Amino acid sequence: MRIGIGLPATIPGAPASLIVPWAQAAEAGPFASLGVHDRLNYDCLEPMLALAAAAAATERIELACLVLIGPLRRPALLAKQAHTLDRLSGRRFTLGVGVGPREDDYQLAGVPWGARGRLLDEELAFELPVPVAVGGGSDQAYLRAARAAAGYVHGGGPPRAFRSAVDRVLAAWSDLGRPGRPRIWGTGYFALGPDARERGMDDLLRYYGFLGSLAEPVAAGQLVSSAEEVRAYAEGYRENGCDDLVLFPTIPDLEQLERLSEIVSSI
Amino acid sequence: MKIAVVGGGPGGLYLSVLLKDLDPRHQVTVFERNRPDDTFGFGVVFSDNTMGFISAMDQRVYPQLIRQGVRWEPIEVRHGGRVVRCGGIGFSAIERKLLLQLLQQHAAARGVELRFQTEVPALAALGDEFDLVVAADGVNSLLRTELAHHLEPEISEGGTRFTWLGSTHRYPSFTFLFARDQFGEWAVHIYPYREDGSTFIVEADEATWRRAGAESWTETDTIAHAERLFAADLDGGRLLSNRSLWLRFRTVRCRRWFHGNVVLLGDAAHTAHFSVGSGTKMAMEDALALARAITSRGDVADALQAYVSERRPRVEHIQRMAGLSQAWWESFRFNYSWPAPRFAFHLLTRAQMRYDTLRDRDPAFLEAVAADSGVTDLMSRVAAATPPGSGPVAEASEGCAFVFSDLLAVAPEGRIAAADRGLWCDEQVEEWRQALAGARTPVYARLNHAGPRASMRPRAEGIDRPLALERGGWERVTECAPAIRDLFVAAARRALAAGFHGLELFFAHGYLVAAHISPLTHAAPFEERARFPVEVVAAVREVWPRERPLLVAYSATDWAPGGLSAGEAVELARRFRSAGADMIDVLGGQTTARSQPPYAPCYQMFIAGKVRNEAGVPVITAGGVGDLDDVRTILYSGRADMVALDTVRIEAT
Repeated sequence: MRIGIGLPATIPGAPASLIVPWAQAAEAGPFASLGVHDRLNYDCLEPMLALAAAAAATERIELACLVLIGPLRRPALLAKQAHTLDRLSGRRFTLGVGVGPREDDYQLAGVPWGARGRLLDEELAFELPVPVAVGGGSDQAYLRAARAAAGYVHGGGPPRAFRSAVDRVLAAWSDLGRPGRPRIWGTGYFALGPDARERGMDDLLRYYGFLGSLAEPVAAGQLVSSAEEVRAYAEGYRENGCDDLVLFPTIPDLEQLERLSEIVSSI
Repeated sequence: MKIAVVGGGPGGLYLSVLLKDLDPRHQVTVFERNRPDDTFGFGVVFSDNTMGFISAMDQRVYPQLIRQGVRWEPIEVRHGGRVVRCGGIGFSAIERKLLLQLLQQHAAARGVELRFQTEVPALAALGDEFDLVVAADGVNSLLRTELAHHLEPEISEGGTRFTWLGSTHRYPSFTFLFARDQFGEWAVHIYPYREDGSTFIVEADEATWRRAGAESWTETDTIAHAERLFAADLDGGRLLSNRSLWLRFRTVRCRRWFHGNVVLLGDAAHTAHFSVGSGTKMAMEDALALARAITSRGDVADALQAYVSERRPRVEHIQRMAGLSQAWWESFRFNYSWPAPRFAFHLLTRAQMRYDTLRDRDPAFLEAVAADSGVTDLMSRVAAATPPGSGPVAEASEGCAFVFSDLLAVAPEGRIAAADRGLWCDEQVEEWRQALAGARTPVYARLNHAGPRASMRPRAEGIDRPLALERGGWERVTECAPAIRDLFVAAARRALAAGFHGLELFFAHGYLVAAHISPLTHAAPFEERARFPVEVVAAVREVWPRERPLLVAYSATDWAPGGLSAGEAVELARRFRSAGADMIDVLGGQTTARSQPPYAPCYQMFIAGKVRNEAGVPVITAGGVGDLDDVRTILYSGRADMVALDTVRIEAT
């Protein structure tokens, strides 16, 4: 299993000037990939543009949308952007797509929430010129990943929940007679150092606030805040068939990346 | 906020208590038609899981509820004169009347205005007077009916009749009784709810119930019949009635849960078959979610949207489980004569329980099930499926009963993708003869004609991505003509000449013959859809020797609305068998792009079991089978005779 790190692009208040040094430090460190999340109605950076900046500043590290909310973009333009990023990065880009869980993003984009599944299917039927992975936790998402993609992106959580989703993706994959095996991406969040758990939870409760009373268990289930927790989370994902685990920051500080580098180097 | 709660059942009352707890400034009025102590039904049951959820959210009301109730662990199944117990599944229950009294006290103490014996004011008046109107008025909700145009409720009735009775005996735990008389099969669901009482629900399928003449029974007749039939299992108790009518279970689903400032809660919004014991649980969880949403969000529309987003996926999950459970109660008569441990295991695995979850809870019970199953060598019941593109015949299949080849085309135009293998010409016979010469496990050829799903790009690039004519694609065949039957027969002869040990006709997954079978792709009566595939089976059987197994695979469900019905699936299996099939391979889906299987573990075992036990045919199945514990679940519960597993999975196990 490879381990990647998220860009600090979805943390409200994080300076955009952090993206380039973060990407360079990640590339110099033990990380295999740089990931981004997507959200429209939120104080954050647009994921493809953030990855474009990272692409320009790096040479080796993979770049991945985990995931991009496909239906907010029209297929032809999305394909063009993906192709552009693929060329800018020298074929290092993987496009993870999903419908996302938030209606407010669709309202802002002027895209009907009720049509999200159909729109994503249309996008997947379109020729996307890069490796595609599908994210999500529903039967529709598992089917889409197995029908039309080469990989699956899990939204994070305890290894047991990850395992259950992977089993379902593999069931769909095998039902459909796809050869080989999908590339399985796992995700999580980290916060390291003094008061890290609290600061990490603050960020995640804001990010997952739309879930109401579920925000806290969801956030707690995917935040690791010590070396032991990072190791246990990674081991749990590795055991259960994860190919790439990408840990996203919750505190926008380069020192966070250094702390994680140390731990990951020792795994 | 000014809030009207219509309906003083557990959900409505609990909501009113929580609202006041979260913000005492809320003005809450509960309207209830009945008197405070009018109540129907005897006890309500909660699983430990539910209680864990509620206790984590609400430490004030919950501990009191639980202190007043009773708790137990094992499930007891009394069947055919034997008692089987399975432990480790915790439940608790409380008398419904007591639950309501407690909630009423809590509500009154917090300043909720409780208006009993009050007809609810007209909706328009309510909507103007209150900021929010909560319709917690039960399965027959009047407010829902009034807003039906906006909420679009859908109500379906179950296929059994049941009635709620009580017993004066406190059974030790969840107990299921089964009995058979001259009219048919009867079941009882029992759960204790206080030190001298248990709920006692009697259930029978519609035909049994009618044959017994129960339509015209009074409550006394019902009790007399139940006391006679279950005399040995009354354990000294008497049966009681309380408006105990024979009902059909009504499952309520609503397209929308709110309109304007009126929102549905509990049974008014959704119901789930009582055998999963979730009605009150769901109503109370709704109350928790709604109270929190209202209190944490300023805007009513926002709050209602948050409430629905949180609750709908959970409720739909429970409704799916309840649907599976309900289907079990509608058809257990087909397995009635099984030995008690297998019967009980079949019952316990009717929704989401699996072999491994039950083994962790009660290893001794699972040992009894395994011993009773007749399965001695697990691997002898496993067939390996060759993953596409992995070479002619899967390796890593040692110990398995046999190996399926990948799909072999009966004609070049029946290939899915250009590189697919087949058995359409004699040169291929020689290739297969050589490939099979070294096989250490019997190999079965899977014969297919891809029909409308032919001429695609390689499956590695995705499914159903058409290969254009100018890039080497070809015309697709969509009609099942006699010539197609002859292609299957000719390919079967070649398979025999090549030395295949068994043969499977692949009529599943939307390929040519599957598309002929499914009503979604072939608008014709069942007889017409069934004729051709059955003819092919009979014709192939004539050239395929008796001593070599002939299997037929088909999509017994389309996993899409309007697809093949379960009854048709059973009948078709019966006809395949009569036409000469030795075993039926029960698969599902892929007949249209709308096919959406529920990819839970062993998800196809329910339809497989239905086909096996109702058509009385040997069955092999697949789908969501990840490891040998899944294989055990399917075999030990008598839902299939064999299971097909990917070689990738076999290696992993």
